[in-house]
Amino acid sequence: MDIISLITGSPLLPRILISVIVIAVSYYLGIMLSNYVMRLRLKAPPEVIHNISRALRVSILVLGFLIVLSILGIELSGLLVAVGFTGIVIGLATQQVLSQFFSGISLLLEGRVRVGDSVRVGDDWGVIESIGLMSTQIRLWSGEVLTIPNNDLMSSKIYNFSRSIARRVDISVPISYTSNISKALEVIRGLLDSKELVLAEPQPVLIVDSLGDSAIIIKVLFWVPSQEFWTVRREIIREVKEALEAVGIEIPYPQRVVWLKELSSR
Amino acid sequence: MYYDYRVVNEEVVDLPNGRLVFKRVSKDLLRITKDVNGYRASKVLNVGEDSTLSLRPLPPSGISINVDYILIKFSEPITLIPKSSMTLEVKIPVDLGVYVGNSLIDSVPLSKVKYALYGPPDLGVLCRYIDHGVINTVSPKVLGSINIIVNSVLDTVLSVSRVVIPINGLITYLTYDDEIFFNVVEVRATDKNRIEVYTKDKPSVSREVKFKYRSSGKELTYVMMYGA
Repeated sequence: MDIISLITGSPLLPRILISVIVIAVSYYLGIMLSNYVMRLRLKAPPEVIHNISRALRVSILVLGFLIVLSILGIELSGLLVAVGFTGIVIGLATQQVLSQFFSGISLLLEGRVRVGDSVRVGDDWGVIESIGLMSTQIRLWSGEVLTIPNNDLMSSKIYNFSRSIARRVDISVPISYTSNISKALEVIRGLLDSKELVLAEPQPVLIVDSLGDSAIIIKVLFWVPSQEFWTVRREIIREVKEALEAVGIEIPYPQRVVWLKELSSR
Repeated sequence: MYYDYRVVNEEVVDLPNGRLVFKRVSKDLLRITKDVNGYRASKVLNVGEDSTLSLRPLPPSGISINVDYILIKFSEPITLIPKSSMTLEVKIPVDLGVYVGNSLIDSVPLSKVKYALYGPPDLGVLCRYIDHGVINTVSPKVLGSINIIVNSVLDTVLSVSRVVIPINGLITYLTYDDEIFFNVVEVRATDKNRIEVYTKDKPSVSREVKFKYRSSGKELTYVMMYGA
């Protein structure tokens, strides 16, 4: 006679007590094993380890629950048939939840984003704070935490700024029509060359981009280490203006030439 | 420049691109002020009066950012005929390492610092960039020799215009005449899209040395997959 049959043959009260013990043991065993997984030095991103440990905890609890059903004498085969029928109903009802869940798994496996990545999703900019099975949290630059359901995130355009080790800065510099273009290009090139964090390769590119209404537009394209993008960008914009002013090259205001026709008086 | 110092009050070391000031703050604390390439920075270290500071050459490395590689760009591409090899002697600028005993506590660039991206932005590596523009603007005293052996087993002509070297695979040697050299680097072309770079445990020059520095303690390899 196996241990389950022995227990199911006993009166109800001891079975309830044993069931409580089984649930408690599976609960604490789940916590212990999940903590153990969290402490393991696995070569996987933290969000994946976190979700594995959570799944392990839930699985052990579910296993304990199934054992308790056996102990209480509830037929698992009958229950499974019932679950089969109700599964369809629940599946339809929880379509949204399941969609979020599978999107979460897909997000973790695909690795489009990781905890700590700097991202833009739609109009929201921030850093990925956590990736759960159902939703992802982004700490916005303004400090709030934005929670996005994983299915929404999966269908959004995600700009991940942490994936690249270098990024290109594009700035437009307008100079007046009376300025010497070659001199302006030389000054900007010299400035970029003197900056440590402007990459030498890929080489900076300067293009006389267009002849605007009020100015000649020079496009300045250069690469910087990703983590220094904003610092270098704002520094270069300020220094380009100062350097051009120092050599007498004007950055003009929008201007319009108005011709006044003088009518002869009769 | 590559001397030992015991700082009681203040020591000023003139560098080709600035200066280094060691100033005693207290019996146990020392302030190092770096004023190089137009940037000034200082830090306080727990270096006692009885400790000796040593200035020694180091391979060029990252200053404002961390980099693990050096990209040397030749002034003109080197072309190898099929199944041949050649040795290039290249001089690259060194950085200045500040040591207390055997511990490296700071490094100071002795040349213009630039970086380069080798490969695509998501898969490539950031490197300290060295080309003739950097080399030509520094004092010969801060240049170290490096022998680069280029081997090609290809059936076609190979053109090499740049080499990416793992910094931790480089060994710096300083002779008693303050001459600097590094270990040999071998560039092996086994495939058109696969150029392997090995740092060898062999000095580029056979001379008696007073200082030898290696950070990793092992030979390293880098595979250049995005062209040489």
